[in-house]
Amino acid sequence: MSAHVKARGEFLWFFQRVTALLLVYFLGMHIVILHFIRKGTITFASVAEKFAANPVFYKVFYFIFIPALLFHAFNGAWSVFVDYNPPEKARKITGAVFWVIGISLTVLGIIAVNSLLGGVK
Amino acid sequence: MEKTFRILRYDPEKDQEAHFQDYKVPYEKGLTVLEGLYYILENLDATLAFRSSCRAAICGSCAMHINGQYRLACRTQVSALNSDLITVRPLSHLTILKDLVVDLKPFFDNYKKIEPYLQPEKAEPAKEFTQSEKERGKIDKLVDCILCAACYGSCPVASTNPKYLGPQALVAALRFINDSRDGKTQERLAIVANDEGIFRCHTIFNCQQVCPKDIDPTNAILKLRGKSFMSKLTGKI
Amino acid sequence: MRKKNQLVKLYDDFTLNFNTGTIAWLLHRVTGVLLLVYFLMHAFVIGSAVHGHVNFDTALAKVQTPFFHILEIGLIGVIFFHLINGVRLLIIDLTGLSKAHKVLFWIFMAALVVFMAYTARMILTNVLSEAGGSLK
Ligand code: SF4
Ligand code: FES
Repeated sequence: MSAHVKARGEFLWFFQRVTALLLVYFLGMHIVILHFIRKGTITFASVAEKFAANPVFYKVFYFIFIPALLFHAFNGAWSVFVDYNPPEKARKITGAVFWVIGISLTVLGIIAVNSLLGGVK
Repeated sequence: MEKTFRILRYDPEKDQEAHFQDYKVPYEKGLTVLEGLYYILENLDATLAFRSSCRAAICGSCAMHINGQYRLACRTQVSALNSDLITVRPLSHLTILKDLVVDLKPFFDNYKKIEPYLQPEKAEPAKEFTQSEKERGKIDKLVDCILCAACYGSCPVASTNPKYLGPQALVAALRFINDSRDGKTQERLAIVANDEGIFRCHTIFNCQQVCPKDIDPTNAILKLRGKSFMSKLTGKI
Repeated sequence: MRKKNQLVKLYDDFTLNFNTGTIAWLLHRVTGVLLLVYFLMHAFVIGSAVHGHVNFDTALAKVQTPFFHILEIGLIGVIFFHLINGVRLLIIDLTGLSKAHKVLFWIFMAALVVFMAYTARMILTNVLSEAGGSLK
């Protein structure tokens, strides 16, 4: 019974759903905080001011939000990609590219949030 | 009264492309789409090719796309379609051999992958394996599958990924997993719990929509996901 | 017969199985891809914060014209569809209520319409008041 057994997919499937639930909260809050409650133009100073009111909350918030979003986005894209039954080589390359972009954007996002938390210098 | 049957014709030896051809079929109460096709074959055009056998929704030979949905031609009353135009196409995702006849090999290859036969673990009893009413109840709906491939033809994932097991094979996998006589549950889960099995499904529900036996393959896939996740969590394989 | 390309296949599958499940799936996919593309642009703009507030403010000023604010209505619509359809699939995944998918689809689409009416009103009010006008 082994000819057709492939790598199991439970965890990717499960985390896609876990991150989906996380995003309902985090993305919802993100839009409400930064776009709905908006007075005038958003600037570095206006965001920094919001963040300064509750730095720990915003730090934790974005440290969970950003990785969850990137996982959900690239795992979703991967799922679309695999639907087209790509050859093994294309899978390897695309998988590696997704990981590299995903991780670098996570790092970039966290640095950006950190500099916003630092306020206008 | 007459009905127009618009049928997708394709003869690989003559035609470059598939094309529609119209036939006028006299209507009388109780006419099924399959009878309409037989009328055409016997009276209008002997070159028309289609599959059928039981004429009673048992054999699963006559699944085709009829007016907006995949159906069994033998079980579809022309009157129920509420239209004077009956458009008939073969099943999708499979190579057309001639007219409405398609090559079902990829469909059956996927079916074979899930090893569709009982594999008992317990020692063979002297007479036979018995099942309680409750045990049998667990496979009631699932054993009704007639392998008509309507679900396979309706699935957009099967369209682009021929390696995807497809709704029917996954229904069959659950049928053996749920069977009290079968002992290979974990091995069967391992066959389906990957990105060419239950995790390739995007819950589009077309298979539920078209299944002539009302089996709800989407639900079978959801159940398999729950089972495989539990087996992964508890460390069985 | 010629081999069909992927777009023709998609069109065929869509028209031959025209029901809520197919529509929801295609929209979920299209919105998902749109959001990924949007997110990459978003990261590009917000990422400029690492170069200090001057770069950030010039980048952000470019995307805060009335035109972009009105586009945001579309963006929130795309997000909300993807979100609410995802919740629908999650509910079905967890409860196994696969037969309820059509009812849930229409309920959620009604919620989408209500939510979008509210969002559009609010964003238009903001844009107008910034331009010195008002909705009333
Ligand atoms: S699950 Fe239903 S639609 Fe699919 S092959 Fe079996 S009977 Fe046909
Ligand atoms: S002819 Fe047997 S199922 Fe229709």
